[in-house]
Amino acid sequence: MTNDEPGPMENLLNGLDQQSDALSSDQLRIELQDRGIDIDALLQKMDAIIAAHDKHERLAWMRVADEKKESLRIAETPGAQWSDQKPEHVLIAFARFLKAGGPERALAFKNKGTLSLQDMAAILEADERLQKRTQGKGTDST
Amino acid sequence: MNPALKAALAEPGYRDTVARAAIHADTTIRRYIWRGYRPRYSAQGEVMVGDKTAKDFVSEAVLRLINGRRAFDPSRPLLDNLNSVTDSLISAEKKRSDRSGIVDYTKETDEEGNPSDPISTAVAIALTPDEKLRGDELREDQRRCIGALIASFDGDDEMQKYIEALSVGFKRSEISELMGISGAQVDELRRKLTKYARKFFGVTNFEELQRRLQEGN
Repeated sequence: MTNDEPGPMENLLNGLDQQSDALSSDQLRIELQDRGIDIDALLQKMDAIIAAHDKHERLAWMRVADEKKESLRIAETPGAQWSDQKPEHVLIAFARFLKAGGPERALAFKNKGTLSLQDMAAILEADERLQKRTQGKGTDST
Repeated sequence: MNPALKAALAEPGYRDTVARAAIHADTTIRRYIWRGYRPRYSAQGEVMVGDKTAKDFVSEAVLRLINGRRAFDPSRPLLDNLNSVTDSLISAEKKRSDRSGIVDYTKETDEEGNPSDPISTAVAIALTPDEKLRGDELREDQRRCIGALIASFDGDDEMQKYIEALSVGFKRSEISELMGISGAQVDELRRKLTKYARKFFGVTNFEELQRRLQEGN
């Protein structure tokens, strides 16, 4: 007998296990009791697992609906009207916008020369619209 | 959830299937005892691997099949699917709870001082003399336990033959054919033997079995 081969006691336990097919519900219960296993507790746990999963599946459409609703809300929310904001707010927001885009964006706008406040506001609004559209698409794909 | 799994879980025999899965998981854990594993027991007397009982493994198996972490094979019965998952869960948990499997990796160099590849220079996996000796002892224990069990049914030829047949790995149909008895009679022998189960379920060696047999309970 090699080390991987089951020994006689292992075979005996295997055999008893395989023959559990022939046991009635009551016999199964008694045998489990002898092994210290409370089958009712296990079945209760099983029922809870299955019920939780069923509920999760039943409510899946609601989650999808919520996600769609959220993406629509984002898409439909009117963007901040930067052209109506105070000049100092537009300047701060535009500086933040340049910083967020990294050196490439900063260089691109530097080459454009001096921008008017109106240009900055228009760029900020266009960027926000783009961001919302991207977010909306991202939510749709999940 | 896989539709076939959903259908299997809705079948009237589902509760008995779960009970059989629990027996299988418990048996699997107990088989490790005969390989030298020393399990712990819950307050209710359930045998454990790590801190998990057969019940925990079965419920985890159902959960994994339901959430798709383990694939449900519709060509096999629910019990086979559950048993397959519990087997691997128990094996993984046992490996985790074994404290002997960790070997520190040390950087080694060859004669010229170049770092050597630990994979290509690894020695073949073979049992150390200690491990071999321990394995032989465990097998000898199993043989002596079977001998003691058979002897404890002195005068009951049928039961003695049944135990002998089980110990060499015969299945129900083979035992029925070998002993010339019906399947129902084989089942009756099983029932009788498992009544005796407390005496050999969970014993860790021959001496313990002998003590339990002598206690006569």
